[in-house]
Amino acid sequence: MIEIVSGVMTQQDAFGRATDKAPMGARLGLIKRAISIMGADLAQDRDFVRSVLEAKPQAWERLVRRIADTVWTACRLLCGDDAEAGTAFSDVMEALRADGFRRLRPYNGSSRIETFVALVTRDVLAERLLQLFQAHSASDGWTAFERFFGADINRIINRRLPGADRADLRQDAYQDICVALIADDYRRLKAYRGIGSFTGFVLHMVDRLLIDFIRSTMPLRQQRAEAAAITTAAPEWGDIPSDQPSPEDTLLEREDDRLLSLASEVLREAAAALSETERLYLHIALGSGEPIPAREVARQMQRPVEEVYKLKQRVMARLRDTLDRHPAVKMWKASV
Amino acid sequence: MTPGTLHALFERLFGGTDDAAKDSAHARQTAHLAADLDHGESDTLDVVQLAAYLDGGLDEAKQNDLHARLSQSPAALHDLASADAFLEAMAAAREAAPAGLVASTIAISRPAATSPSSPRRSFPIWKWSGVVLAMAVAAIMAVLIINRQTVPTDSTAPITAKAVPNPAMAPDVPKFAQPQAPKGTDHAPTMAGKKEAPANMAPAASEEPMLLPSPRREKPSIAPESFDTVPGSQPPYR
Repeated sequence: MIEIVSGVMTQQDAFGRATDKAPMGARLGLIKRAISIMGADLAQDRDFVRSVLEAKPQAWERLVRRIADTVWTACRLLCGDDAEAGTAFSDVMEALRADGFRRLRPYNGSSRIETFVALVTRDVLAERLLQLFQAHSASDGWTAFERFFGADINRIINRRLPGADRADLRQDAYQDICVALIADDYRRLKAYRGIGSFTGFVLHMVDRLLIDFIRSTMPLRQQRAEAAAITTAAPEWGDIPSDQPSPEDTLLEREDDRLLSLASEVLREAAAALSETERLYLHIALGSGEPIPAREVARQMQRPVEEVYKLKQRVMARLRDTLDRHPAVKMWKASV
Repeated sequence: MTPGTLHALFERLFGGTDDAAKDSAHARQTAHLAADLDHGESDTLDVVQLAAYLDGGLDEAKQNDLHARLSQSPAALHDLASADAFLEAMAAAREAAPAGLVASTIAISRPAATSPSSPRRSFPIWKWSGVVLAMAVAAIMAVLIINRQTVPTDSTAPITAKAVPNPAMAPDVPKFAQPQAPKGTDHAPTMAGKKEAPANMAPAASEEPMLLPSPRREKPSIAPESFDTVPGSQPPYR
């Protein structure tokens, strides 16, 4: 269905992705985006911004009217209330005008003005947030931080810990991550040295903290859940089982860890031989606690679903091949 | 442990089996493997690239280039996912900006666009001409004062060795008028350290008789004009 015409994806392709490949239901935003991309005239957008850079009469005024709703919506999403959003709106507009429209200059018409301005707004507000943490009043910035990153943190947690039965675990994970970020006077957040985007830095850290939480907590959780199930079945005080894992559980856990370590070795070896696109597929697939549908990977990679299926087959073939050639596996084969 | 176990693990991890979603260990295993594959590298995707990628405006080559960067940097991959989710949320929750806010934004930018208030323009030209005139007068007066100055010779001052100024080394140092020897006499300049009796001056200890004022009032005479104002005359000092 999706075609690449002269190397550039058509707007109909984008609409096709939004309607055919996204899960039905909560994809209203995606469909609206696809519709707006379809109706966009990128050359016209480029001329529009160019007239502002050339300081043509009324050009800035026309641009403000065009992007006002985009900037406002972004500010409302990332700030707490109308008053704060109003201040943020003014700051963003000022940032767009600053230094002879420095932030508008890179725009080359490869996207809609609205997409570009929305992401510039996000960057400007992230910089404001960063200034709060770099200053000595980091505690003042925490509320703003949660407003800015709350949705992203929850998205990452939901992805790594899916399932209705894990609602409590997700809440605990959120709290655990927040405590880690606040600890030692925001040491982790203040460690940002300007390499990469601040948003990427924070979310990567959140993901690592979440992985630590999962690795350290989930086996204990399972044991406690089992213990709780036994307690419910036998409520007498004398029969309350110990919280300590049984010898069988310990053995199973050790075996699981050995398996994972070997799988990691094989994965790293295989990843080194993959192409960059295949490696990206691997990273996306490992970013979720459940298998990601091919259409979702396709959306993230901006590639057709058919290509994602082929990618997956190639990656699996490489993993199997690496597994069969691995020294530990060869040793096992020799012993049989 | 068998190779079959590992094969099954990979099949499960990458969605080869339907029961993977129900596997409670799946989240832990993917988390473990993702952490081991993460080299912690950071890369920056600029807004133009991000916007173009998410709007489908990159050609095949640029898209491959971006994929390469995303595969190397988990932070960049998170940034992209966040931007994508943000744009989706914006499209779903789009609302109109308050008219007053838009009007005030435009109003604030108008004066700056029509009459920029740079400090250069705000200082009128006639004021600048006044400043230049004042500086010129001050310079002329300074030259006149310097030319009238003579260096007094203090015979009672202690004799100390001083560095001889080198005019070639400091060409910008203002030159004061120096006493000149009368024409025809070979009077070499004295060096520091060699004390000589100053010419045309009485010793400090000598006593000179004070002239008494004349009891008869005479007609006041006009003092002759100074040498530097009479054309053709030779001043004693240059």
